[in-house]
Amino acid sequence: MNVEDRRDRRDRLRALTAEAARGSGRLPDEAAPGASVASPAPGPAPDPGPDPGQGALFVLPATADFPLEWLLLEPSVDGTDRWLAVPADTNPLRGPGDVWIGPDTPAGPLCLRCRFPVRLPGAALRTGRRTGQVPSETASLVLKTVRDHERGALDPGPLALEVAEDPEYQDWEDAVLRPACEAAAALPATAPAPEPRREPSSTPGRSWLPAVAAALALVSLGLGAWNLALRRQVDRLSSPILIGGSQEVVVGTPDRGPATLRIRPGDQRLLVFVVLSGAAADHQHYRVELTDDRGGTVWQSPVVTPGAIPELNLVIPRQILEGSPTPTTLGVYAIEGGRAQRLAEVPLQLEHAEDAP
Amino acid sequence: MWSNDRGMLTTQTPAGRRGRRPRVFTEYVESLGTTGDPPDQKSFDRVWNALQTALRTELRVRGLWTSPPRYLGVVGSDRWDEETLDELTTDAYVFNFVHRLRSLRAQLEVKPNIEGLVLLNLKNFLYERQRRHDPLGSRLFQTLRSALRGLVEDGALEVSRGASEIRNETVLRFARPPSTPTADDLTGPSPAPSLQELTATWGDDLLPELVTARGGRYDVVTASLGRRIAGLRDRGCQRFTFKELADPLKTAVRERWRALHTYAGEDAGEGGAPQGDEAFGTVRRIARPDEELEDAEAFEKVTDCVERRMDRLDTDERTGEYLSNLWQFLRIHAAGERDLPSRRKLAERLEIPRNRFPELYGTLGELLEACRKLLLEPPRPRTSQRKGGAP
Repeated sequence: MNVEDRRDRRDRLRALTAEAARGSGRLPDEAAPGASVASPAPGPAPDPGPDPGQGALFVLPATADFPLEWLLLEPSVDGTDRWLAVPADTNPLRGPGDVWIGPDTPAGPLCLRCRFPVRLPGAALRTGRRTGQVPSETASLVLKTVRDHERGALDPGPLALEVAEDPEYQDWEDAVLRPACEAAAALPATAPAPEPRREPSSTPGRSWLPAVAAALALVSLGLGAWNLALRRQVDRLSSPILIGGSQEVVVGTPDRGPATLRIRPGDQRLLVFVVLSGAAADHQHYRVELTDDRGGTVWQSPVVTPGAIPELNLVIPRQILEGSPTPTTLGVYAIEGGRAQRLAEVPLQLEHAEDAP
Repeated sequence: MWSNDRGMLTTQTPAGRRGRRPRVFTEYVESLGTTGDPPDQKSFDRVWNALQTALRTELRVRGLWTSPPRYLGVVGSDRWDEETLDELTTDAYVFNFVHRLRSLRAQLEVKPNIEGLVLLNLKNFLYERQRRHDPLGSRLFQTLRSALRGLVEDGALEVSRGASEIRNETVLRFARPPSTPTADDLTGPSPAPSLQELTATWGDDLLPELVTARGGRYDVVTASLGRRIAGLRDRGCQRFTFKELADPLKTAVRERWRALHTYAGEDAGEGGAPQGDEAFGTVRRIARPDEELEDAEAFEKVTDCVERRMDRLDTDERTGEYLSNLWQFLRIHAAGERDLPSRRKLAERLEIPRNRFPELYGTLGELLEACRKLLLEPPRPRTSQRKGGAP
């Protein structure tokens, strides 16, 4: 493919994006983006269809940590200010009870997870944002599937059952759908009460105000002292650090026996040169890691690029070496294209100078 | 020099940007208006490059960088190069910034940035592509993860702390009393070559059930694989990463699968092309529609329909099992191969008597045709002409 073809392809993508942006910027019904949903009226359920809330998609601040929206299905029939809703996400894996709408359907592509119904408080919806609308037939199908699920009458196809066995799908359920539903179920039924109007300070009945002011003054003094202490600590940490000796760990040689780190009295940090030898020096980026005796990560460095000398300089605070969990292994990794390749795992032995022969 | 929140210091230059997190994707989506004007060239190029970099990284992480691009539905070359990567990037771009633009915008209503969401979409995109175009590899990946999870839940294996999911770099070690360290603890993980040797014959034992098993029988395959992994400890392997185990196993299973073709052409002596070509051709046409991800759902619909109807067929149990095995084989085979293996080889591997094939292919062909007509052909007047090529 020549440069012109490539440019042509990218121009087509830009045009497709513009089209998608135009389509995704407005809701298919009259409601403006961000409009709040009406609270369901107490009493018997309203007639289906004309209710503007049914089929609406919402995002909620309380579930913003999860990559999903909520599809509203119907208001509660018991008169409480709640809506039956299911999570809607864009993961293409479809298991039992999942209804998929493709990209050609308004608001699609979306997967509507009917095995995870929740009752969202109207108050939570009023703090959320309306983000789309699915066709009414889709909302009806989802509602029917939710009902089937609640009756134990779901009839998933063989492919859905196959997907249900996929650990990737199970991870999605465990990491996204279940915690999101738990967070949604824990939402309070009412919005936080509005702040009471402030009255002038001369209003009778406010005799506690001077006490509060005094307490705040004390807190302020305390914070001032704390601030001073923090500033001293920052000053100390910003000063140069002179370390009386260094130690070496060589990576890339056949011998990968334990490395002994010696701590002398008064040492607060150890300077360790991780020397990259042989083929271990051929990489551009590296990362090091300290792990405990169960393989758990105690500390992990960011990705670094060595300078002219093929070595990494590691400064380890003593409190880490003697803390819990105790690091017992130094792992050195080459990072290529975002992928970590383990170069060495060096067992560490800690030796205090007074213990040394 | 910089430090992290545990007070550790590393010298040298960090490879990434310090402090502020990149917001390439977020700024791009935020900049898109609703007036129909295309995004400016510079913004588009930034996103394209960032997406391609992320894609390349993810391909390496998943071990797909050294696999043929056809495993992800990109044909025309046996290895990744500028052109094949461009093709995949185009599809990934459409997946994210055309089809999922509304969802990304929705998330921006409650999130400060969507960088992570775009990368998550990218992972979903690749996973779905692999499932569709490399069903054998993804089936093995899925089974292996299930087997390892089972061993972890049973306490036979331990996962390195902090790893919530089993991924390529996840270190797994056999459980043992902490007071009895082994020599392996000092010398590091077992080298990959020994795992290659140890898993070399597993492909023989896992196939064809790995491909054909459904429901309870699939659990049997997973348990069988779990027993083999558990046996690695007695062979001197104390710990390994998922990738160290998955890569040689994938190679072994693929080689075994390819071996089915070694004897292709044997059926010539029995009257030309292997019988069943017609049914296989139909499966293949539906399975490889060469369309974009979301438009290629026809195969799933037809598969669902065929399997439901197959379960309702009035046949004896043995025939039902033969049909199911043959169908599962065809499904996966059609995604990667053009031709059927010889009937003799197929009979041997699927344990189906050779004289049953004509009848089985005939039944499958009828089921396929009925489902294809029902689901894929738009209603049309009876007098209209059918296009050539359709069976």
